[in-house]
Amino acid sequence: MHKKLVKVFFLGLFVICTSCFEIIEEVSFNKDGSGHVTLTMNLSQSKTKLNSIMLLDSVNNYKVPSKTEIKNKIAQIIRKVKQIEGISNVQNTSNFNEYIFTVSCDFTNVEVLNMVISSFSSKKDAAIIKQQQHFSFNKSQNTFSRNYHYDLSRAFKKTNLEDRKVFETATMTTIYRFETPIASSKNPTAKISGSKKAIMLRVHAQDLIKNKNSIKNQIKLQK
Amino acid sequence: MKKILLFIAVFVSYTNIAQNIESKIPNSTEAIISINGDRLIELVSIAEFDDYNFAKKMFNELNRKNDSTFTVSSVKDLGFDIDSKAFYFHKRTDSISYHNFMVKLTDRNKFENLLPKKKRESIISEGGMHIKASNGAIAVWNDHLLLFTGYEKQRSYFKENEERLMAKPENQELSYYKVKKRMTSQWAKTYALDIFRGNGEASILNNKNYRANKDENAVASVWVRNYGHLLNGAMSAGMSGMGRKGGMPFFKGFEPTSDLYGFKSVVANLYIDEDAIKLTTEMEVNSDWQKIIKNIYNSKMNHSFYDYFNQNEALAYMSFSMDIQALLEEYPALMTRIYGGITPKYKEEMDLTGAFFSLLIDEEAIGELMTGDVLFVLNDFGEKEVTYTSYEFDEDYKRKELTKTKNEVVPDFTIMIGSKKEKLLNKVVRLGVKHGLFENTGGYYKMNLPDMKTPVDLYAVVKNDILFFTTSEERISNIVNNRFVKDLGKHKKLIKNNNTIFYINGQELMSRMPFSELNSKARRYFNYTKDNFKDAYFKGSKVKGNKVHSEIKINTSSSQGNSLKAFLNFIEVLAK
Repeated sequence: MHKKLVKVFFLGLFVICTSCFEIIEEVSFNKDGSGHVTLTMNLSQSKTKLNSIMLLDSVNNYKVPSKTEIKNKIAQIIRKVKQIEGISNVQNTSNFNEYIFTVSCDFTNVEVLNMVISSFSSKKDAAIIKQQQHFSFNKSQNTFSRNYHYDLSRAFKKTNLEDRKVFETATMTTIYRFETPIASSKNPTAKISGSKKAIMLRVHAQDLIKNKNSIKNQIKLQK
Repeated sequence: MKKILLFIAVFVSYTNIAQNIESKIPNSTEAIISINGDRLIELVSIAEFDDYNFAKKMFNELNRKNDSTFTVSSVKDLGFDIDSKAFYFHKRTDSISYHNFMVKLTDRNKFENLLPKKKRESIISEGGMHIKASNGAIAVWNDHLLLFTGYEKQRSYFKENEERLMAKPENQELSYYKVKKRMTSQWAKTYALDIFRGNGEASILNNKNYRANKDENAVASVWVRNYGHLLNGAMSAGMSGMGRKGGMPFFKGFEPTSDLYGFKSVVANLYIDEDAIKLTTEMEVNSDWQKIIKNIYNSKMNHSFYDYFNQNEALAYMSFSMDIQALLEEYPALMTRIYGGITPKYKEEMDLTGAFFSLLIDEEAIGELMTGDVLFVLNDFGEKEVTYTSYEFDEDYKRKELTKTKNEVVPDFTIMIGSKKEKLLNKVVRLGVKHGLFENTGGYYKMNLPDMKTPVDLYAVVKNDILFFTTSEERISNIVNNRFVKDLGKHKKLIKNNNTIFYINGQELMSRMPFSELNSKARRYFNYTKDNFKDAYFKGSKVKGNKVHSEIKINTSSSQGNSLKAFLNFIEVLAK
């Protein structure tokens, strides 16, 4: 009991403090529509807190998964991704010192990317992604579209105040690279690189949640 | 003079009424909670209570559910006599358990208005009493008193006696479900009416232990006749059921014994004053266990520990003192007693395991390695530069990994563990140095454990039969070079006279809290705590006679008027 008291007392100090994480989505497209995608979840800035949390059984009434459970969950996702037709060269890294996790793979066409995103989602969301494609490419108009169906604002309102704090300083970055130069993009926050062949969009989770900004974008390529 | 006589008459009649209610509680009751309404009202008036937001929310909820035209806007509107004592009491037999609540009424109509219309219509009146029975509960009341009895059948009893009960002529035509329902509701009605009329068994006021332990000055009190019995009652219902169903044969044969944990009666009293809230608990230990518990817990902390405590550098601390050697010597007997009681089928196996345990370990040597004295002090909060991985993107948005730094608030603490095996520990440390786990830094050691992802540096040293761990290099250096300034103040007595202390200097702790790192809700709690609560402690005393005492005390500042107000205002802050 005493051991537990001490643990709760000190670790509690970290748990009530704020945390920070970033998600990076990088996609490089080839001319034929195939390409390579890398998804990165970087929690390194919160590693002190996570090291403490990992020692607890639960936090804010959520069960804290063990390292093995996290590894198993990742392995399960990777197995799912590997089974998708049109996906190859699936690789992943899990760095538990820095809490950085990546998944990368090659894809034959942009539609297959939707299946990859579905692998991370619940069954219900996966069905919606199938209908409302998160990634699409219109060949006739030479336009790449990034979309999503989640109503983050609604989902966020369902969480309690303490959980909301987790998202306060989080960011989401999308980087898309093309072989053809970019002509224009619809999201005003997105920045086109000097070579015009890459575009980056960094959005704070708070803005996503409050519907002030979005990772949705339509990128028109030069003909 | 007349006024004084009148006052005495009113006082005596008042205490008689209070006693009358209490006297209705049967002597066979296993546990009682009494709440002193008049004491609470002295601290927070009804008008003040009604004004709290959480109280208003509660009234709104009652009004929302209520289908009468009557609305509740004060606790007075519930019809209960808030200014008197209310009681909860519990009784358990082999076939049924009862949870009762008894309170005086000031206005029967107001109370009845709280019931939904449908329920009001099915109230039965007999012999000056009003009765409302429902599945699993019965309420009996008149103009002055309400008794609510909730009841639950003991599954094991009805499972064992199904054949016998169904064979009774009056049950022939009924399903067993209906038989059980009819029997338990009849028992509960008889039980409740006997209590209400006062024509049942002897009163709890005939119980010497109860009378001797209750404290009229307490705001609320808890009395448990036999803690072991109460716990076993709950366990036997669950475990013997499990055994019988065949799911867990391990528990087959489990029979409740009253001395499984060595505790007999338990008394707790809650006191609320102007500047403190205090909860005292007293547990009676049976004669067999007294010796064991005394051997383990009545050890004194090594005096050397006092040399390394400074109250000005302690935001919180925990001290604990027990005799590890005695614990290890008593352990086999303890385990046989506890687990042998729970699983009688394996009592011999438990005995043998215990004997092997004693054979294998050297209690004295382990007792010297770890004496059982532990002192844990949260000294302060400090800042530490930590690195983390992030990314930067070149002009073509190709990412490059880079290491950034940031300052994090970390706890500054000291742990002291008693040990008489200084030579052995030093050998371990030297081995650690050899393998690079410790770094010798002139008389003390810096720890470099590869798998230990602590956000702080940790220093260790063994001195004066104490193994020290601390986050501060300056402190460990002071300890090694005899420069540590001790200042025990009131804490010497606290640590010395008790086997366990958990102390928090609330005001100091909150004032040094890293507020910038907290979320707004936490900031609100901490600000309120800083302004209204001073310090708090839990103390578990050594065994005195056949009693184990413990106490939780929270000292509050007088800014809110009294401690109850400070506490209720805190609930308001939490609810915001």
